[in-house]
Amino acid sequence: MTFDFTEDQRDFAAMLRSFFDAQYGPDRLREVVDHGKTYDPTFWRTMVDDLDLVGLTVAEAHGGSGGSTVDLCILLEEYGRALVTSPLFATAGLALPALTEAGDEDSRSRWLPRIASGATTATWAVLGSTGAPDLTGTGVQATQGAAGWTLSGSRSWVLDGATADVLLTVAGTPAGPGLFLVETATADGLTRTATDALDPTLALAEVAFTDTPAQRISGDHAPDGLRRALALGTIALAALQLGCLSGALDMAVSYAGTRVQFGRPIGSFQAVKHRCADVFIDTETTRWVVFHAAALASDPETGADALEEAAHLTSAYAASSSFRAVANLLQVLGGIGYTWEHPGHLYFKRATAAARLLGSSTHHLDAVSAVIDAAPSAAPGWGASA
Amino acid sequence: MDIKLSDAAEQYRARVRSLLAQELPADWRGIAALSPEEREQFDRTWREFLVEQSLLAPGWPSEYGGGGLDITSHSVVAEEFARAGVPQHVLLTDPVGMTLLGPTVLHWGTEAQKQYFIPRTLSAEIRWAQGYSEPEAGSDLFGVRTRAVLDGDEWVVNGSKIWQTAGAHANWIFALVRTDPEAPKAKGLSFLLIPYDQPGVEVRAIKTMDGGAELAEVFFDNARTSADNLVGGAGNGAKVALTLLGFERGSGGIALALATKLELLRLRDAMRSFGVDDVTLRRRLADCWTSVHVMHCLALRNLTVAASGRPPGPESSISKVMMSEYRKRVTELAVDILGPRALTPTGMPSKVNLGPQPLGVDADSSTAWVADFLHARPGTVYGGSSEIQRNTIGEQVLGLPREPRPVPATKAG
Ligand SMILES: Cc1cc2nc3c(=O)[nH]c(=O)nc-3n(C[C@H](O)[C@H](O)[C@H](O)COP(=O)(O)OP(=O)(O)OC[C@H]3O[C@@H](n4cnc5c(N)ncnc54)[C@H](O)[C@@H]3O)c2cc1C
Repeated sequence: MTFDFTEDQRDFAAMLRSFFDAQYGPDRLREVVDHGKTYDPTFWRTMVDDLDLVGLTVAEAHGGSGGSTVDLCILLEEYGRALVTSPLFATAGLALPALTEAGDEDSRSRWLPRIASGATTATWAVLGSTGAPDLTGTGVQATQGAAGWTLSGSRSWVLDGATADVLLTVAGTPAGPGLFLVETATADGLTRTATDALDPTLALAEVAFTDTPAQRISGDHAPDGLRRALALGTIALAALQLGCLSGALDMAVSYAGTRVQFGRPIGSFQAVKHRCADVFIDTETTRWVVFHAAALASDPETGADALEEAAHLTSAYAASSSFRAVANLLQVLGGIGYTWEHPGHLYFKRATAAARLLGSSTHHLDAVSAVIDAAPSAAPGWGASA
Repeated sequence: MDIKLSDAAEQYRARVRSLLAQELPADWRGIAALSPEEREQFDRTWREFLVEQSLLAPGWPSEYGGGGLDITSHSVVAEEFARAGVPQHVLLTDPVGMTLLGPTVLHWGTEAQKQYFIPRTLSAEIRWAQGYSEPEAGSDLFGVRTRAVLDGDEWVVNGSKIWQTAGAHANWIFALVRTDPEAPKAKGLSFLLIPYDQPGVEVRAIKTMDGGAELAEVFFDNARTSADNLVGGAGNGAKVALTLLGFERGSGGIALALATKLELLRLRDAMRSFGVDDVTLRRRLADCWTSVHVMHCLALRNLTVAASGRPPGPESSISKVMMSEYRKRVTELAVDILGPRALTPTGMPSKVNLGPQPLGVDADSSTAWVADFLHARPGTVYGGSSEIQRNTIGEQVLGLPREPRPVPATKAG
């Protein structure tokens, strides 16, 4: 056991840190936030062409770098810390796992190379109308006609829903749910409405399907594959939340070390110091929980149940730890933290939004409850295995 | 990033399991299921068994009677013991001897000190109390006032220590004492081993809020100990005391996370047995389960760092705060699940004062849950309070400025 990053992974993280610091500084962030720009295609090309970030986890046979979920989480921590607005998370964090885990071979060889090359951006419309992930296809119905499949229904809170080239969603069919893909540029009967978003760095949309042509892309392994895909997406989201924690920690500590009141840095006051220590504890604990889940996800022997359980635990924890941290951050910042000008509120909003993007923390806690209910009573285990 | 133990460690786990299966009766339900009479009998033979198998101190070098195990195998032993519901430490003083004093003597002691104290600690001929805190020196540990003065080939000790865990069951105490009153605060301290059995030492039990008397005060009135019993050199006490606090880090974390998980399953069983099914309580239970998972992940991480031989980082402060705060939270949940049953504790008594009860405790024993509720309170005080841990993280890890120290009053004129 070596529960640690490899030298290469550390180098990768350091490279990403300096890349985002250099390329996505406060000015660019401000431009996005102030002018409601969704994303900058030039910056997207840099991420894709120079660093192959979107294809990081795509198999080499499909034109990607063949990286693991651990690598993806390293990327998303740094990407989340820099509060970047781009299709990277929806594409690599949500749509790719769905395609890879639940898509059939045809759709994988068709779409993975295009996505890895950055030519096609994608998203997965996950949430049902209650705000919980919909893997049964209750919100959208698929019908098979002479010309192929069409979808009817709607999805809300779709990340990058107004801009993605390809939209994935689970829809119900008479034979059970399946994963469907819509090419947004050409599809008839598709309405995509960008919505105001609490977090200005995450672009959300309402998507309505009216007899919209779609491709069925899931094979027979879809039910388990979809559960795995959602678990992977949830772990990826937790890495984004970890980035929020790590950014909030640095911001709180640097402000506490420099802001002077009563003739001394406010970080010398225990009330402030202890808040910073709590943010540190939340950051470090979340880091090892996220990378534990990522390590499980990177191990082909991990079954869907175990992966799902890890995702619920990780998400439940990351939701509460990241919110505690950003709340502490705003208190440490004093009045300046309440301004639009200071970036502190962006972490606050990111933590709040991320805790809802793939189901609320109560959703995840209730799933944990189900695990507890199903566990056998404690009995001496020396005779039994594990 | 590899979170699985090595094949060698898993093979060792299989050996520990089969050893336990041979040693324990077929109907074994965990130590806490034994009656007091059965327990007394069991404890005696179990401790002998552990010494025989070199498992009482798995991590000590084998030449001194330890198991000679690396930290990963040691962790496996601890985990399998928790799973089987058998204790790693038998006497109340064993944790002090095995996790604090022994490693300190092995690290800092002279060969003669090792030869004398280590076998006697294993055989329980010597049973230790930890003498750090004093009435006027708690969190401010290096403010201790107990004095030791060299008189020929003996140290003469005056002062008092307080809060000794299992102090009334010990017969020796290792004490942080001031040997040089002229030196700056932390520089004048030494680590001294003092036998109880002499007129100058008086031990008084302290009754605690759970009604028990596990803690003690120790008074020194011209107590004497051989000059040979100073460990790590005169004036080096602060350094010795600090390394002591870092020993055995890493080896117990996974076992503790497992024991904590088993405790939650018992709490779930209690909910079922009381017919309590409330969504708020269920979510609090799930939240605790999540925290246990966090502590398991931290334990894996701590084990990696410890096994790499790197110096301890901030992990121990994080784990300390997490676990001690968690114990309050889970036991508060337990008494909320008990509801009015907490008013009149009934059922099987608690078996341990620190941490979760071992296997075998009845899930619906309100006596045990209420005792755990009380025992959780001082967890955030001893061993460096939650406040002190946060100071340490803030100043030593995050580099935030220290609090201004009071300026000593200058003499007038
Ligand atoms: C069950 C139990 C077992 C123990 N076992 C042993 C033992 O075996 N051997 C031994 O030597 N000692 C033992 N102790 C003593 C323990 O280490 C001390 O209680 C602890 O160090 C705190 O000291 P204190 O009780 O004097 O509290 P104080 O130091 O007076 O603290 C009181 C409160 O003030 C806070 N505080 C103090 N200083 C600061 C600061 N700088 N910043 C912020 N807050 C501060 C503390 O966090 C605490 O909340 C035990 C204690 C208990 C309760």
